[in-house]
Amino acid sequence: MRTIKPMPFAILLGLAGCCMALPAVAGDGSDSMRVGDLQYGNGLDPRGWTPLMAPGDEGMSWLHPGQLRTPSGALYPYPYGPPTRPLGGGDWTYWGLLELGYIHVNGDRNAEFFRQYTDWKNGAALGLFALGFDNRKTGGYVEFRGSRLSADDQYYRLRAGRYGSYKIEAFYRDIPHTVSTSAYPVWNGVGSTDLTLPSGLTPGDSTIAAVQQASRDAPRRSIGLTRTREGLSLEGELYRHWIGYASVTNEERNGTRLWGGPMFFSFAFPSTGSPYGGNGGVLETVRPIDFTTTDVNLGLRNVGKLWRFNAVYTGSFFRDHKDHLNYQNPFLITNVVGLPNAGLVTDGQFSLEPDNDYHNLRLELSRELKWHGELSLAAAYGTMRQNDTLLPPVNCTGTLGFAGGPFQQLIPCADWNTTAALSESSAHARIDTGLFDAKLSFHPSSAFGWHADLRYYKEDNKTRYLAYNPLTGQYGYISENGSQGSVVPGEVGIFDNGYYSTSNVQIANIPFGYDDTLFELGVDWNASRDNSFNLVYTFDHNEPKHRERKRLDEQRLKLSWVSKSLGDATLRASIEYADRTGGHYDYDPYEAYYSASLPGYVPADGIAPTAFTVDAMRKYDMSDRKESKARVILLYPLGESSTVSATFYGSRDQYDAQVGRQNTRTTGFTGEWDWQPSPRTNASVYVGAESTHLKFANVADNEAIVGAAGSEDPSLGGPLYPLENYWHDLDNERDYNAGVNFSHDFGRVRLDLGWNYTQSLSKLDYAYASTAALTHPDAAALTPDDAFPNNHYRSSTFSASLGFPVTRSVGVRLFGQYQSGSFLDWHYLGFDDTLVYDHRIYTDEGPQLHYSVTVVGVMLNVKL
Amino acid sequence: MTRTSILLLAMALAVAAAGRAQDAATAASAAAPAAPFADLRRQAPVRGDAQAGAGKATVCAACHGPQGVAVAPTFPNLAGQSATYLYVQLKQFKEGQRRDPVMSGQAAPLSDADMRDLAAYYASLAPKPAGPADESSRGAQLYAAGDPANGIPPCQGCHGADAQGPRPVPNGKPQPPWASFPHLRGQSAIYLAKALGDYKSGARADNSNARVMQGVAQTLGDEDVQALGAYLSTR
Amino acid sequence: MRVLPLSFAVVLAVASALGGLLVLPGGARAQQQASPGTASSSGGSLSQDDIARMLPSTDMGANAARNADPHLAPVNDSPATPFDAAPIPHNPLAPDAQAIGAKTCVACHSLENVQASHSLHVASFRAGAANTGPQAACESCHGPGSEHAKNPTAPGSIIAFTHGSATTPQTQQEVCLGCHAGGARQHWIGSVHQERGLSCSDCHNPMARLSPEGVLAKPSINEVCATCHKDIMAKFNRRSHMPLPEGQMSCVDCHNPHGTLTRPLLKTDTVNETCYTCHAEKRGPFLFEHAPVRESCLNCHDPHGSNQQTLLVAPLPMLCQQCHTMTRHPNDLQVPTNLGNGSTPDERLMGRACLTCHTNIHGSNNPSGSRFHK
Repeated sequence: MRTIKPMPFAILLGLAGCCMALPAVAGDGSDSMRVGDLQYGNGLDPRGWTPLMAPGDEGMSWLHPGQLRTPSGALYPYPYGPPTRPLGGGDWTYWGLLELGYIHVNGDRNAEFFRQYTDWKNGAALGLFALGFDNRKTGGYVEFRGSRLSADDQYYRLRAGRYGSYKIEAFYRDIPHTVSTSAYPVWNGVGSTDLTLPSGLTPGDSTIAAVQQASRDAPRRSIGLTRTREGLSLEGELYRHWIGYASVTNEERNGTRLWGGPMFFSFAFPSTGSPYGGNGGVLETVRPIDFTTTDVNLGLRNVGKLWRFNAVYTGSFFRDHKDHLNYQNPFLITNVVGLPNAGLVTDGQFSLEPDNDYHNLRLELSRELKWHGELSLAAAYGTMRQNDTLLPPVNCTGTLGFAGGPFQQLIPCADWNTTAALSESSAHARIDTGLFDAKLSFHPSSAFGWHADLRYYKEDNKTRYLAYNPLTGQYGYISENGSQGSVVPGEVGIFDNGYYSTSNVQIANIPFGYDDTLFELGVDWNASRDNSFNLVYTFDHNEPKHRERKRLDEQRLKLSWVSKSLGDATLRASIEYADRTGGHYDYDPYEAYYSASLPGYVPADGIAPTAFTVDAMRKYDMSDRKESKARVILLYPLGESSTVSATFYGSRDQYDAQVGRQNTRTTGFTGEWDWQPSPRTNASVYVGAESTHLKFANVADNEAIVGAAGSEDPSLGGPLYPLENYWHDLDNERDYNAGVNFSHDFGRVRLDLGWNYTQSLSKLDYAYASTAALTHPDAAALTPDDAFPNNHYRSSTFSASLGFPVTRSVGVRLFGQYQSGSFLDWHYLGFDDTLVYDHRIYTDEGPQLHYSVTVVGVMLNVKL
Repeated sequence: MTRTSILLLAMALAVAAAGRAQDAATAASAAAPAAPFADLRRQAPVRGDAQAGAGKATVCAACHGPQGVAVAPTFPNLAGQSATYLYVQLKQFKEGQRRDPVMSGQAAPLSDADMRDLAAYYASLAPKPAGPADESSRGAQLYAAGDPANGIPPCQGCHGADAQGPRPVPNGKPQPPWASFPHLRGQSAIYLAKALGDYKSGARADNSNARVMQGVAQTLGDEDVQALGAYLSTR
Repeated sequence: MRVLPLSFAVVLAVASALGGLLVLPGGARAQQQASPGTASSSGGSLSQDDIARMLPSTDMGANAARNADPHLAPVNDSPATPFDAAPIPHNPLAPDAQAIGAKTCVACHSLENVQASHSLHVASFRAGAANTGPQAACESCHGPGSEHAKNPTAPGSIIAFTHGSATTPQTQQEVCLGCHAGGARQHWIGSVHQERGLSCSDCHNPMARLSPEGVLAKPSINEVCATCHKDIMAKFNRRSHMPLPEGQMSCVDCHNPHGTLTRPLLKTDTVNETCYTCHAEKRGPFLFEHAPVRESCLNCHDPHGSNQQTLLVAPLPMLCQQCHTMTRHPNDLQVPTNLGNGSTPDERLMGRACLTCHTNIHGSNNPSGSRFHK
């Protein structure tokens, strides 16, 4: 358990103190311009403010009953005014609230979905501590909010300044994120960079029974992380209408996440009955999370009568304190040609994310023009870079592989487990981005307006890496920690002009990037006081680099209608149609990055390299697509004190692909009724339903001919991709939501009741031309429904709270919450029986199938 | 429960106890409970039986005159007044939000129907005939335009351009209880001065309309009140 | 639990220390100012034009604009607060209306005055009033009030920001932008919310304190957005979601509803840059990039919520099989017998499927990582 790190927090506050002495004048907030840290709350009080939401009986005005509505028709809540008290004899007033109490959690307190982002704990909790100071003469203010459920789930936030002059913000927060509460990693060293096998398992040489036993013996653990963020920002006038902004935030992210560990695939090697099982190795491991990210934001703006200027610099500096993961493999890996293996494959390694630096500078300039017009220009340059020291291609020792007859496939680790085996010792990775945007708009009359917008964005990947080993003169790499080369002849990952001359492997990175040009033309037409229309045409021209298409063009037309002609209602409706086409689709644009393009490459047995993929594949980000969307948002004031709101929406996407994503559909509805008859009473009811559908096609290759004549043929219906291996998946999902919330202040007691329900059903069906599409054609007979078991996620939460005022300034609140849920995801089927399947080890058993948990608590509420 | 949580709860309870003691002390020093605040914001226009009211108005005539025009300027004229306003005033005299040595006693025995009937009766009477008001007087100017420099709003916004009650334009927003706002035309200057004084001093403050008038009256100086009285009583 | 008193004590100490700290400079500042209220009590000699001239312009130093306006008297003094010099907006529906000053407004709107004083917006005008005497805090937004005061229900007699008002959304927006142009609102003109005729007061209510920050029209940012975007809010109820229902995030953490350079109102140049602000480790760049990842996170993730793990838009391995039909293991049809409880368990389907081996799917910095399994 951790606590606030006192030092950084103290430094932040010290800085805040210094800044208050600045003689700055000016500045309204620019929070909504910057990403992050706008919301402070937690699972107990998501708003982070609820205890202060106690409307007085007076309402908003002595002149009229009820409450006014937003222009669109939603009711404003009745005002909550914290009563202020004078502070000393000066102009300062203050208000404050302290809510402190005890929380008890009963039932399945470790349920993953219950804990996902809230660190519920038994014990004392700070519901809310809020303090505000105001100086009615100078406009000076200080506000503080804080809450604490546990050392991993807390926030404290201070704002201070002078209205319109300057503003200082400082915060400290811990955000929990639980990924799994039922993980059983067999390794020692979880959370570190070295996962070692427990005693009882021999690296590279354990029996399946021993692995199973180790998995059974592994203690249950939670996988997750905590984000600890602190930040300081300052905004104020620097010099005559130039408003400056500066902020620094720092985040420490600590914990673990589920990870992998490939030692070649296993499905192709069913166990032959040996106590050592089949072959390959598939390991679900756990990686450490130990990140520090420091962000710097600087802004400068000038707002004049005609000109508006805005400059923003963003710098982000990410540091990964654990940039690799070593893990041990328990399984015996053998070659398929029956030769003795030169050594055991015991060690695997991952590079984790490298440190990176990011800079972005954006300049924006707008000028007001006549006819209510505006010219707005923006340009930005960004760069992300990292130059981490590269790990060696492999971390094995000794010799892997095998040798015998024509198979001289020994992998001397010493040639590859050193950085001397690299063409470059560090990554030199860099992507530069550029943005330019010009927008012109005019509204010459109140009835008519138009705008034109031109946007250009470029992402230029400057990383160039050649996988060349100067020690051996070979190209390529060591695939899967040497395991693939220890199993399959020729498939080490290496290319050379000798033994590996027929090997087609990737020998360089592919610097993906794109240039995107977007042109938009829009017209507004206010047909009458109550009806307005808006039509926008967009042409998006994209030039991807090193992708299947060199050009993608999308035309889009969107028509919107806003109507206030239906009584008191406000209706916002839009329909949209888009058509994406592009240049020639090259199913294999990556040839230059593979060894088949190198001199000395010899096609095995004189046959051209196996087709990269089927030529009918159209990747869904590159394919021709027709899209239509529609949406209606309705707000309808019902009587003086209630509102009905509804949304209807749908989208249809048709992809022109014989293989790949073919279509998606979404249709949904939401409805809500809000009722606010008096400041003391509030109620709402909502329902929602959505249905989504996804269909795609794929084709299993005829693996029997890989490497033989015909395998170079990419055509659908050819020998490698025969039509009888064609198949479809259809994913259908339905989501339902409902809820009722009610609160009433009876005077002596305030009652809050809520019920919120959500249910998702997912159904995956498939269809195939013949059983040859399956890995095991015999399995078709066992699954006559051609469907997976239905997945579902259901969650129901009842909550109740009773608040009693004890005195004018002290109250007690009792609250309870009962949450139950059920879950099924076929990915985890069987995992409650065993997590070891031959040469596969799984760590995460998956979320709980059923859970119910009760939270009860008492909070003492003191108005200061 | 851990030791620290017990400690924290104990601390919190101590704070609570202290708060309670303080509250008790302030409560003891407060005055006797007043009549409940009357929220008139949802006050619907009142209807009653004017004829029945005529029969119940005998006592009233002693001060307010046989035709609703008061016998002395200390008493308000009721003829042609808004029925809703009259009803609300009677109700408040009866319930204690408004206090007057005579009217509190007079209103005490009245039933709700009595009050409605009386209100309807006086509303049905012809108002006092218009007088020779000076439309260029300060009173007229205050009534029509207020005096922004002193923060005085114009009276006509709520009491009507002709001082015979407001004529609101419907706009779909929550509306003030227009019917409960009194007509001021021809009202006695002495009575008007007393009413404004009562609003200003807070003697009349226990309903939502009075809260509005309290704010308005506080902007008026003695001369303003006299000017308004002189103008309205002669209008 | 041992740590609780420590952290709690720190918080309390800090809060009280800051409170004390601010009292001192506050008192000092107050002494420097001319005694308040004298201007207002000297009363009668001020004409409506005088008041209008004294009326504030909030644009934090909009003196420049004010001086450029021939209709206003030039100012060269530094106002006590930046709110002391806001212009009164023109009300096109009541062109002849004249300013009457805040004191006149609150004579009738006394409760509004009380409630509004809890809101940052009005509190700042009050701070201005304390320094300069009679001024039109109310009229800085609502326009000149004389017509409204005479006939309050006459449509358009005052600039109003609520349902049923005759004031057009354009006029309403212009009033707010009169002070709040630029900065986060640099791209308001032409933004989707502007084009849909939303008014600032659809999301903000500066007349009461309804939210901890941002003078919102509902108690939290997310509730404001949910007024219209309920379908998106519903997605956060799904199995995997960003922590909005848990109070750790708001819509405005990623989107700027006031308009930006991107269609979905993202604050950064691209979708990915928004994601990188929290997921900085995925920014790289990596030695080996995965094309759709670098192109857009939305190719595989729905940031609002999904029925799959980690916000994925389709179940694994089907998500991957939409593009990967390369020879051998990626392109087989997966069927239920390949599940953990089936007859032929298959790692391509179970657990995290493809990602169990191709774990560095967001990019690998390993020389042997071209297929993301290092």
